[in-house]
Amino acid sequence: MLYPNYMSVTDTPSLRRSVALEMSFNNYFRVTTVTLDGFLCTMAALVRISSVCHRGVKPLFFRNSLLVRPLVAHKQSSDRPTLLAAQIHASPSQYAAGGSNAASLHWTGERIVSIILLGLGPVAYLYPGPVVDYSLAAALTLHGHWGIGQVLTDYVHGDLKIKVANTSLLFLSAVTFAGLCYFNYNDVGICKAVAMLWSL
Amino acid sequence: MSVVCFSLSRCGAVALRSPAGIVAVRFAQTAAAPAAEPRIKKFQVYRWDPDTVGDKPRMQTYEINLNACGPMVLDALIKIKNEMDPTLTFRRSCREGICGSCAMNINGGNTLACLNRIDTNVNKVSKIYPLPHMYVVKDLVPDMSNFYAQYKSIEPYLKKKDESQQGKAQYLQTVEDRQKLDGLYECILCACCSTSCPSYWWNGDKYLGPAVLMQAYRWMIDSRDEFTEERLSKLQDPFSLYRCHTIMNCTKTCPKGLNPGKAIAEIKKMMATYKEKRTAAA
Repeated sequence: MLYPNYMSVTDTPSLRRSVALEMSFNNYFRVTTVTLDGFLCTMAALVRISSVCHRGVKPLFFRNSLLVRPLVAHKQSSDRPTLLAAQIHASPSQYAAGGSNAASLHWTGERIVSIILLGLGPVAYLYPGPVVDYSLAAALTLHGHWGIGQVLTDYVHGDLKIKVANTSLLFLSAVTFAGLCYFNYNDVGICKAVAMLWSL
Repeated sequence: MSVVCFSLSRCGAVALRSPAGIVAVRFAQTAAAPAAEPRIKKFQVYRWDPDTVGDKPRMQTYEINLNACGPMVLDALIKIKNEMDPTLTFRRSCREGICGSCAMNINGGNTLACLNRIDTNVNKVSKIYPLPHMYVVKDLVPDMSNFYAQYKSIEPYLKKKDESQQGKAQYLQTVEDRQKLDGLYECILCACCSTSCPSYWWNGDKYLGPAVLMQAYRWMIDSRDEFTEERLSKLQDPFSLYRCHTIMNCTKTCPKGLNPGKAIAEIKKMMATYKEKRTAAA
């Protein structure tokens, strides 16, 4: 250890409070930033639409590989008994996959789903039907899955914990998607259901 | 001869008279000061001493008469250290916002103490903390080693594929290409932005943070640098770059008025397209 007497600033109660306040503000922001991001970088994402469209559901697999890789890298780095200072600033290349562009593809995928979801709103209003129903079910689930995945990556630390969290999330998203499909198949469908909610 | 003598004597008279005039003016200035009511302002400063065994972080209050103090928060801190409490520890150097030493959290916002005016409302207490979520070395001094190591990891210098021409001639750049660096090169690495970023708080070990990412972008778009693709592919992981969620605390807090948030957004755009550039070139 370099400085055994280290104390974090957050040890003072008042600062901890202000940090908590700011964080709740940022959590509120997070909901909007996902869509804002989409707006900001619409052009870059549009360029990729054609190339990613024929990927089908593959981005899901990308997601899994993304979450596993840094954990493995992290394990390697923590195995070495080095100085604290040497441990915390692991070089980013340690986490980067050799030649893989999975991280940026995932980002592009997120933007595309966000944009599709924005477009699906008016489409669902103008042309409600089974096609839109199932598209909405898929886009909503994927958008939510990736969004919550980002939150988990941010806040869940530790090898085992993040694995458990991501498995639970995958289960939750699968159930959500299955439930929405079931609803579309056996009931009125998402478009009609929202319309009925408004007519109440 | 008489003319010379006359002029000499005149000079002497002027020389004698003028200091007296200045002294009179000085007295007039200092005499006016005590007449004004003292403006006592309270400063609460974070204190923690690692050398005192079992010392816990605490807030210490200092009272300063603003009439006898410079306008900036750094002036107040220096006044405290000089006249009231020599144990108060903080970093400072240039006192004009170009060295980045005196970055700290003043009244809830990260900024440079030398560029931050003292809030003249004496009813309000000014609170001064070290940069948030950093390890504290002592009082207002944070440990910057992780931040500097991250900066080092992005290789913040010009890189050429062919180094045989190094040092033989200047690498020229068009005016337009040079202008792309404006708003990026001014960064003084004070770490105000990185330490205001919640993502950096929670993942500071793996996320590079706005300051370092903006410098990474500065070298990516430099027309003389030939390692743009390599620099981009170094960020291909979920943490180095993609922990940025466009919260924009960085841009809001930057004491130099720069926009790291935009630079990161530009990197994300480049990340989405750079592979195609390479295949198109091949």
